[in-house]
Amino acid sequence: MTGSAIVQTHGLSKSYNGTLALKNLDLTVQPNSIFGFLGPNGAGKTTTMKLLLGLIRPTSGGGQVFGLDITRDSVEIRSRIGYLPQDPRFYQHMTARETLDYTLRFFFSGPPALLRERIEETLELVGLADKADRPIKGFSGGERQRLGIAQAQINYPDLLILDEPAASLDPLGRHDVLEVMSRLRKHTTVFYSTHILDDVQQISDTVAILNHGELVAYGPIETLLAGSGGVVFSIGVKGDVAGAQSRISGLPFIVDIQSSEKAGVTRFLVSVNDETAAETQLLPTLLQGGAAIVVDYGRKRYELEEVFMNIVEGGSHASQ
Amino acid sequence: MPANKDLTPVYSRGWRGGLRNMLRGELDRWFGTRTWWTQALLWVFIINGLLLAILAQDETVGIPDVTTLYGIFAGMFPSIAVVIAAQDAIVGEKEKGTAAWVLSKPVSRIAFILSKVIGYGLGVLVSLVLIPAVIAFLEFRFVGGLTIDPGKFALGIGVLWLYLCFYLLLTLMLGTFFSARPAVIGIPLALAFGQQLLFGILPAAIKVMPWTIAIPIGDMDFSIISAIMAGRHPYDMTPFYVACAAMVLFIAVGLWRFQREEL
Repeated sequence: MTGSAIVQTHGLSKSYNGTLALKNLDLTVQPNSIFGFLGPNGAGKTTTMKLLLGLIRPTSGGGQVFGLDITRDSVEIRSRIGYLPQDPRFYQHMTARETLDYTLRFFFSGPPALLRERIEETLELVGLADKADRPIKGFSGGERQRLGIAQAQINYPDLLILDEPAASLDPLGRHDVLEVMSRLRKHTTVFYSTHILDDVQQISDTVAILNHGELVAYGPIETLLAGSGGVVFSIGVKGDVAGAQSRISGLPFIVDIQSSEKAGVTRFLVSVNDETAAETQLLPTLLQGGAAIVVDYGRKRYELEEVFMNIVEGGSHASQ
Repeated sequence: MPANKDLTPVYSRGWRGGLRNMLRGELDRWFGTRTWWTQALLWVFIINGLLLAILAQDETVGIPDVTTLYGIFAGMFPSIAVVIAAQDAIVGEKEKGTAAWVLSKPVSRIAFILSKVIGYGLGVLVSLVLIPAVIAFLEFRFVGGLTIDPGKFALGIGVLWLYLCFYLLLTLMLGTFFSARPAVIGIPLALAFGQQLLFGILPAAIKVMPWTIAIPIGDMDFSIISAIMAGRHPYDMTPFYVACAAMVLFIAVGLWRFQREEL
């Protein structure tokens, strides 16, 4: 925890009709980070976002955004936030341009020429310039999502809260959104939820996983991908595989060895309890005698999907 | 792109946060679309059409008669329109998710409700009250040959607007409590038209319920509006004062309830 955290929550909880939707959430979001918020449907992601925005009130606990209280200073907080709802809805009688003008005027009153310039460039950014004067009621889901992203970032917010930003977008649109988010990192903090784990792995620096309203994993993405079930080395071996396995089995820091074979290469997943000793002794021991060929060697890196599934299905990769 | 430092920030915060822009949006919704003129046209057709038919057919009709008829036509029918127009103002925004979207911007919940009250109030004033009233005044003068004091007529029009605002504010307040439209429409309409039944069961209710502001009942010859326009002393102003107090209550309760709304 640092004093400059953009978002901090302490025991933040929300229940609906006695059912807890969010349980004691303790979270810190650092400035200029891209914070990925994951979890299955109904995990409490949207609830958390709505609590931060003051759209709903906490049942217990609380939080601060920019050091301001989420319940007491909500309007002040929202003057520095951009928000994209999960299913963005706008006034049907307005065009995209009018919607952006309406949104921008909650934050800025002039000069008119510069406001117009900001709107034009935002329309270009999200690829809606040619549809700017069409009534919103004719927009497709993807176009509405693009407009949602445009209105969320039109005020250049200090914190961008995006609820499923890539939902209803085609692969090209998804790519554009990820690029916009990466570009914005220099100027803003992005707090977003998604189901698309590839996207999270590509651009997030910190990840939190919620399940049934509880925070089950939280930390830098590198830590999460490294796993938390101890240090595991992944080694591909050809040649005298049995001899190699026999030699490393006798090492004192070895906890477990699992092997599998694919395309003539045997893969050892070697769990160790002394990382330093393993780094210095494991590879030389494998290569002793020269009959075994090591094809690849390194710390096992988990895919986010693997981590996510393990956690959500009751595994043990929680990093904090 | 212009940087934020090049733009003039909006400083209104607290309960006024976002009020100006919300109000601009509400006025645009009414006056920037065809709503204002379609409503005006409809009520001119109904109110002024009925008055024209009466004035053209009956040459003996006098100021007390026409102001009484005007109070009935302009008070009873448009009160239905007010309820129907305003029922969607809050319930619709909650249902469609636009309330949550707007309130994710620096907008206070008080500003949200006040913008609806002012926006719809001005829309009703122009389309349902002022335009038919100006035409009615000209009809009285040039078709009926009746000269009504413009000051008294304007005062009566002001009371008529407040009468319609009673139903407007009741509907908006109910919108903060309910998520279903039937309750938001049904309660004000039941109140508007069930008052006659209530007077049969509880005659003393005549003294407090707003019905007699626009419509004479029982042995009354004229309503409060027609009495004011015709330069007579109203039977009793209590219904008007009760309606004014109720309107203040509706706003206060609506604001209180909406602060607790989970969006």
